[in-house]
Amino acid sequence: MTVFLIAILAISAISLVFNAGYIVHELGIYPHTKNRKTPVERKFMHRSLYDKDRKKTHDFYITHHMTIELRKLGHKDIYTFKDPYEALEKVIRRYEELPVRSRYDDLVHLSNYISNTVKSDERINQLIERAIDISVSKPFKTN
Amino acid sequence: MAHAHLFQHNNFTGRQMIADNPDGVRYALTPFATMSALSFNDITSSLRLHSSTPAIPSMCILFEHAGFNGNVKAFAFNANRDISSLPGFNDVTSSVLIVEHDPNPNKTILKLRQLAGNRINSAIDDNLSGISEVSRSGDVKLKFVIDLDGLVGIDLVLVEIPVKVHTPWPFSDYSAKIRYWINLFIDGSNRLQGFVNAWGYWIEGGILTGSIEGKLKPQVEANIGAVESNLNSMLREVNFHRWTDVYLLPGSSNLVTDDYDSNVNDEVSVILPYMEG
Repeated sequence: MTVFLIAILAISAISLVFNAGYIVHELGIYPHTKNRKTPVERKFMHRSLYDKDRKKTHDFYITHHMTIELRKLGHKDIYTFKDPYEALEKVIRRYEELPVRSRYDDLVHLSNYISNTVKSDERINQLIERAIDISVSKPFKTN
Repeated sequence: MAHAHLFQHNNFTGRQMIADNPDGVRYALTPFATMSALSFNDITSSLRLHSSTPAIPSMCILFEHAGFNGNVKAFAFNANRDISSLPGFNDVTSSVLIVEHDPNPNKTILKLRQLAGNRINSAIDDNLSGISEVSRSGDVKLKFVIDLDGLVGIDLVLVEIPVKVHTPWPFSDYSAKIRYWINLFIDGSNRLQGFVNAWGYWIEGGILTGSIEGKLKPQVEANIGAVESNLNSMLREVNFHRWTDVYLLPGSSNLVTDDYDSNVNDEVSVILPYMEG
């Protein structure tokens, strides 16, 4: 019986220590004892009256992380290949024949795709260098 | 048109990623999500910069963290330029920004934090003096932010006010941050103005967080008018030219043609091209 009572007392004492610690932690009685894992962070958009006077002066271009996935759907013939060297040579040839925006985008995005997910070696690097050189020396035609 | 060609290793070797600006716009962004999708986060060690427009000064800005945050390393170029290694910035780049500056050589660069000095702290203290539960707990931060909403970007100045929210015994004070995102713009008369694009706050977690939020939220929102009016009266002082554009650079930039190292949290540089005469 005594052993049983001592066991209950010991468990109660441990529980008291943990509960007291938790209460101190939650009340923040001592510095840095608050629950820092659950801060509140909010952001609200605001429509200002000043906005009506705004003149648009500059633009943005964003390389979206889904760009390559979307181009894979739209340009299956470019992104379905067995030989990455041939694939890069093909987009370079296409751009040399007709330097337009869509073909320029293929030069850039296929280079990024192959170098980072398919193969990266000296020959690939040389082909990408060629792709860049041609895009700089022969800018694409705009409407 | 300018673009940056990032390499995995020093001396232009290893995997590579092209960050380009095909439309020749002011800001071309390669965010963390894009770098991550190409497994290119935290691996950049060298870069080649290309420009086909020598009349336009360009800049390639490497950011230490996602969301165009943390330490920055900016490289200016208007022709091809090779950077064979990145001492002090090796394997840390998590987002990239290419800026094509205004070709107009007449530009004023304002360092906003330096310009605001202690006046901004005093203005905030005056504003908070009517609220007994809240006091400023540090310098007001002015920070470069690019907000991305899908394929739309916007360059903003984040005004962040660190505060202590005083609570009754036995609770200790709560830390909080009041935030206003400011959109600087040029109006039809070529004057610089600004407005609050968004507002918000951060409050430390604890059992009083909810009740503090309940009191703080309406006060932060109600203060938007005062923020806009103070901002525009301050901006009237700098309307000494007829500005043609206003755009921002992270950290402290002296000249758009110079390289610089900085931190997004330390300063925000406002670039103001102007008409002569």
